[in-house]
Amino acid sequence: MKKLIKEIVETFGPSGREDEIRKKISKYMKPHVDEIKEDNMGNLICIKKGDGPKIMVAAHMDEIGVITTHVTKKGFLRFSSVGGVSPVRCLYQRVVFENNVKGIIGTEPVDKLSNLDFDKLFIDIGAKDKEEAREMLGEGMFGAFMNNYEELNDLMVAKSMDDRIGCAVAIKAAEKLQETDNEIYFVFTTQEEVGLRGAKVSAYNLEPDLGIAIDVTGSGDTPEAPKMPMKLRNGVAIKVKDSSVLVPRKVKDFLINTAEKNNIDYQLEVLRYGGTDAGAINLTKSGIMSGVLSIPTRYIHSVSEVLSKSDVNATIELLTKALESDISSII
Amino acid sequence: MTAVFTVQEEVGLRGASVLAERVNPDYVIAFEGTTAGDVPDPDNRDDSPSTEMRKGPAITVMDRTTIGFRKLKKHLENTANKYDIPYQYKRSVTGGTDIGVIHTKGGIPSIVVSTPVRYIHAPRGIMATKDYKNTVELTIKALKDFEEVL
Repeated sequence: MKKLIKEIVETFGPSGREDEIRKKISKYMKPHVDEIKEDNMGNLICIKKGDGPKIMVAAHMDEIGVITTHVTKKGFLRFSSVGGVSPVRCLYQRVVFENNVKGIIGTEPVDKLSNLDFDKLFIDIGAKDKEEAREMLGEGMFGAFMNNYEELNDLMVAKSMDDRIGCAVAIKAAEKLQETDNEIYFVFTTQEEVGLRGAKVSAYNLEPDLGIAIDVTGSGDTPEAPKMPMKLRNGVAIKVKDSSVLVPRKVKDFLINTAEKNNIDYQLEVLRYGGTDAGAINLTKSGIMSGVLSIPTRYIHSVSEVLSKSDVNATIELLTKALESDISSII
Repeated sequence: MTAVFTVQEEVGLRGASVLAERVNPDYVIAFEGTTAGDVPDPDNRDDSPSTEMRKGPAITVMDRTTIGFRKLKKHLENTANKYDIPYQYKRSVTGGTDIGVIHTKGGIPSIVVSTPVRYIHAPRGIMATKDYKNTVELTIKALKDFEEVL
């Protein structure tokens, strides 16, 4: 599993430019499903056929990133964020662009860190002047942050655990899945970070009976962290709410019961901010039942997102059992 | 081809939100006036404006509501190059358009083409006649050669 996670967290794929990561995930999913297709938004839809209810598993494969907006007179690039990127977390990070050009994020002098915003930041690609910068990169190019996979004790660290870890969980669940009547759509969605757009489109087209999103969530176990019940190493987090969805009670209870029946460590997730694909699925067409399994994660949307292996394993386990369950009572 | 003049865009893309279901298009091109920022900058910052007047129609790579579909973006670029029509990119990623609520209905490939306008959302907006003409020209040629997208 380490090899799988390392490979997919280190792969390029900011929102709107998910081609490389889609190819990699497709390769991993192929042996475990009956059909694989791609839609106009670039969502990767992997289908395990069945005669029963339709369950959509959504894990977003896009990552936060940057987009170049201006070439300056001195040959640096101004940029904007793709998804929820904080200016402070950008400082002196390395980025790689869709044409493989690499750069470093620098800043104009600022008195106070709180004055730092994207207007002050720029990307240094080593160009000698404006013309060379334009030739090397130009405007409207998408970039992603760079960082390697590492392990700290029993914890895993990487950029874009959000939500490549969800992709890894879905891949492992597809691999472990026993026979079931349920028809399962493993959807690796695009453009989640810019507004759940891929999930919106795939749910609209697939019309599942139940949607389950797999994503990261916050964790309240670092010094002076905002108060929240989730902690690393306490198991898979079953979502109660975030800003995008109030998980229907039937779905939440179904996930809790499945965890208890199978002795899987779980905790409840109550998130004051943030959203997931489940929010988009929930409001599709006439309303679709949806829930979320989350992996508690420290430093989300930084280049070093940290989470626990045991929580990942619990998430794989619970997702697999949920997909094998008779869901007729909740839909 | 269906030409649609939408209502209530300025209050939240409302008119367009019912469109996708009614027209059920295979592709969508939206037209907009967008910010031309080529006006005096008191700070003289090392930066460049969102779009510039007289530099041709602006193609949107990404804004707040949409990431432009690459197939259509490429087609517009190819068309402009083939017929020698000037074009630029909309460089800022702010602002939203009707496309935002259209493309998410099933994933309809969409793109925005804008004519640069100075002082947008002010009582006087200024545009260059030749940008307008080039936007029209680019659109006509892009639609004429549309089979290259298919």
